[in-house]
Amino acid sequence: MSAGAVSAGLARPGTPPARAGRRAAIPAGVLPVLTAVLLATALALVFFWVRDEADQGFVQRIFYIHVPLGIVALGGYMAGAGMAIAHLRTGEREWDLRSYVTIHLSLILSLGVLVSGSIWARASWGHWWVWNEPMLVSFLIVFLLYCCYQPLRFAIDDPERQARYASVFAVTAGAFVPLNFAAVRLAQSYTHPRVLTATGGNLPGDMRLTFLVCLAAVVSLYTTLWRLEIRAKRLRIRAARLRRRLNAEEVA
Amino acid sequence: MAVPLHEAVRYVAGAYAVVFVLVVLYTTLITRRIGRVERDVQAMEERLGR
Repeated sequence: MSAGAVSAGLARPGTPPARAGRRAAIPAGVLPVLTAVLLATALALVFFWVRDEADQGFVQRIFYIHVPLGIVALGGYMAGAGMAIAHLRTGEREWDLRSYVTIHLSLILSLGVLVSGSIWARASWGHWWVWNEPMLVSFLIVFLLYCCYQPLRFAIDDPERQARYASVFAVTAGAFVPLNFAAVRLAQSYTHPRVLTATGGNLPGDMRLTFLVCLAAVVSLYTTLWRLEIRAKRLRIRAARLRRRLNAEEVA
Repeated sequence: MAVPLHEAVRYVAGAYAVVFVLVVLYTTLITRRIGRVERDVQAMEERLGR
């Protein structure tokens, strides 16, 4: 339903054509291979190289998937806001498509963050969830906020209004993400670990390297999945246009 | 205090498995959708005589 509604909106006559023909900065085959290599390297480092953390032991290795997912998800929400601004400024539907896909992927990553975080919380604190921890609750609020994005989109039939309202939502919600994060950081008491700080973090060398490789792997994975979904959406737009042409010819 | 290793392995494996399943599920759904739509596009283009 979601792809259809987005595709229908983008396939209306007079809509600027999608940039499907533009040559990509990274050739299509390179990114999946790079992603696979980075993921394999990251997993090897996490499970066979990096030392156990002194306090939490082996269970701390959840950090290397949980935090990169969180960083990329939140970055994706803000990138989606930037693309939504581009859509509102230029009126090009391609930007709306990109914003939609970016936010959609960030939602999926956010689900991974919440579940992996819950597992880590259970192992570390003995509870699946702690309601008085600002970092957890604020991330949940951001996730629930963006869960409203798709229902809002598809409640609007008119494709132009749909795209415009979705962009306004994406910009507003995207502005909320860094404000929320800053407010949580200023909170006095916290249970959630603060490993990465403004002073550069307090990770030893091997942990820092492992973290950076994991972060690169998640960024690469996100980009690969983003390109895959964009390709799927553009194909549906093309299919919708061809279907309209066929219908017009049949009527004629 | 550190969780015993046999328990910790389960938690860590569980966390990574959840993310793995999410990614594989998503990739599978998208890839199947691409395949289906590509076939539809090809059929329509043939009908249009391109």
